[in-house]
Amino acid sequence: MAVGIAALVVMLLWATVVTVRQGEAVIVTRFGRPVKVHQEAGPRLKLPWPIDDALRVDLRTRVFNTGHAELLTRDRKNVLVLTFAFWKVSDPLRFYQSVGSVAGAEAKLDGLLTNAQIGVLGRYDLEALVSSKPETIRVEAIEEEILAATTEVARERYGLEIADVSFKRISLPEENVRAVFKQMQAERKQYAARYEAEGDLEATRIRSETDLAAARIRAEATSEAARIRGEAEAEAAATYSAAHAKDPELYRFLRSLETLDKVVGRQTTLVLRTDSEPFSLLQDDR
Amino acid sequence: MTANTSGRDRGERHAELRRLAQPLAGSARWAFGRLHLWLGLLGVAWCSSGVTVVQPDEVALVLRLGSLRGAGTPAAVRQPGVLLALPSPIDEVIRVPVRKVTEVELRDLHYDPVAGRAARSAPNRPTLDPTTSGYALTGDQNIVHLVVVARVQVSDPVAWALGVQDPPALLRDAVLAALLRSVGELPVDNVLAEGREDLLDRVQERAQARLDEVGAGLTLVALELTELVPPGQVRDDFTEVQNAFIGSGTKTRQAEEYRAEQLPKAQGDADVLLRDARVYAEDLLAAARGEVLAFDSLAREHRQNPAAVRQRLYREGIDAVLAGAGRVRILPPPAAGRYGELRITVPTSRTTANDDGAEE
Repeated sequence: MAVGIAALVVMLLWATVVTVRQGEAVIVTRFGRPVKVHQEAGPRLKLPWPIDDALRVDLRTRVFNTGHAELLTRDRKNVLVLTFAFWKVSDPLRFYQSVGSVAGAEAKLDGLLTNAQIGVLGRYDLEALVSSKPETIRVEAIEEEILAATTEVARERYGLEIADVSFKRISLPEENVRAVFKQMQAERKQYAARYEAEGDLEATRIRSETDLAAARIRAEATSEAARIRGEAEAEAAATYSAAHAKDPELYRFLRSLETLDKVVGRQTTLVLRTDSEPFSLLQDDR
Repeated sequence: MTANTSGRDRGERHAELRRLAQPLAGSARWAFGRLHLWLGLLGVAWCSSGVTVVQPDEVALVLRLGSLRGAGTPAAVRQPGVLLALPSPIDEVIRVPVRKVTEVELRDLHYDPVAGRAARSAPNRPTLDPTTSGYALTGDQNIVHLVVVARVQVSDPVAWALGVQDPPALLRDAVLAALLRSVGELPVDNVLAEGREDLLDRVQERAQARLDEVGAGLTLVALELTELVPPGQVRDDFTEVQNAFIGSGTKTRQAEEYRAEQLPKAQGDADVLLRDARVYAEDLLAAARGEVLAFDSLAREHRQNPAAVRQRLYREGIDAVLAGAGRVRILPPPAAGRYGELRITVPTSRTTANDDGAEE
């Protein structure tokens, strides 16, 4: 008996209490017509089915990706962009009445974002998306503009809040990629040639500097050596002349003998008289 | 049961069945009699089903009838240990692995976005289809392929578990947007070479800002580029530049080696020259000093006894001259003022240059 009563109570609770989970909303409909939206988490009462029904709406932030959309920038360049949006349901009732489901909301978001992209990117050059000059990049401004162009419609019409929009892919049409490859190749060839030339130039510079420095070292040494020799010779000459000045007569005599010794060599034939010294000795003996 | 079975047989079988089923029926009666016990046990089991052990690397959240317990206070996040929660469907315990670092590989910007599927053949195509091959445009409108691994950790369990429907998807898109943005502001050479560290820092900063803005409850712990290459279609050209760069370095290095070899050599030559000069100078001066000493002593002697000294010097000198001369002829003095039998033969000069060591 007690068991039966307990079972009955459980069944009654099951039919009349709906728990609103954190991060979701519950729309209570009476015969299909929405009568109440519960956004506060916790238990709520409703009439049992089939009078009242409860619909759960996920309020958590979600990600939506558009497809690749080909757009024209202001400077008439084609780009393919894939955009993502972080969004959530901000008005469960409006969401339920206008789009009904996540898939429905995504279809609306796709249209909104694609339109906004076409409009916004048409006002910017490709340089605003990618550029080596950081000051020309306007990605943040573009995101803001797309957000501004979509956020109000999404909120007012579909009960959606778009929190953030940006690009997940930025690509070029296939024909343009070909051109990019050609340009990349040309650039690389240029770099290769430049590196080669720079290497040659630098190597030549180092070598000629080396040769010059080596020549300078040798030349300086040669002139220094000449100076040392010269000074030594001058000093020697001064020493000699200082000494010889003390007895010039003896010096002259020695010089004469020396000269004589130098002049007479192995190939010299000396013709001497028998009465000259030392041969005069022979005569005296006779 | 077949048609020809008799009534007697049927009766016997019934009795036998009843006898066989008796113990079974007995125990069923016993069990049914203690139904309250079973229900009680079931009730205890249900009541204790909410008790949860929160592991050391996780925290837990408790939703009571859908509502987060302690929402908005630090108490909402239950630390590791035993958690006394009420049984389902009253309480719901959500475990959040806060200490676990999850790796997410992002291949969207690689020519082979689904690893191994597309196409080793990708480099053979003359172009790239953005729907099947990923890439990023650099600031100078070059194309690069890259793969990034993001390491993430849950930083806000409440936001992660209840605020975001698919946290990894959020992370993926936030990092990709930051990558496109950061690669798109650098020239290709910076992206491929020296810019890497800087690039990843920027990506991490931008992606984290986006995640924080939307309240994803995730922290990017680290980003790592596992692949970063120019497209296969132009890879050879990039290799060529690399080779040219290395080649230029080699040439410079060779030139530096030449310098390292030549300068010391020149210095060595210079040292030899100087040393020779100094040796020469030393020798010369030493000789001069020696000779001067000799001359001085000779001069002293000469002052005391000039004739003897001169005589001796003359003799020594003449001896040396005669000893050194090739031939010596001795003639008698001229008689009556003329030489009677003098004949001088002059060797015919074959060559004038041959002045040394030639035989007469």
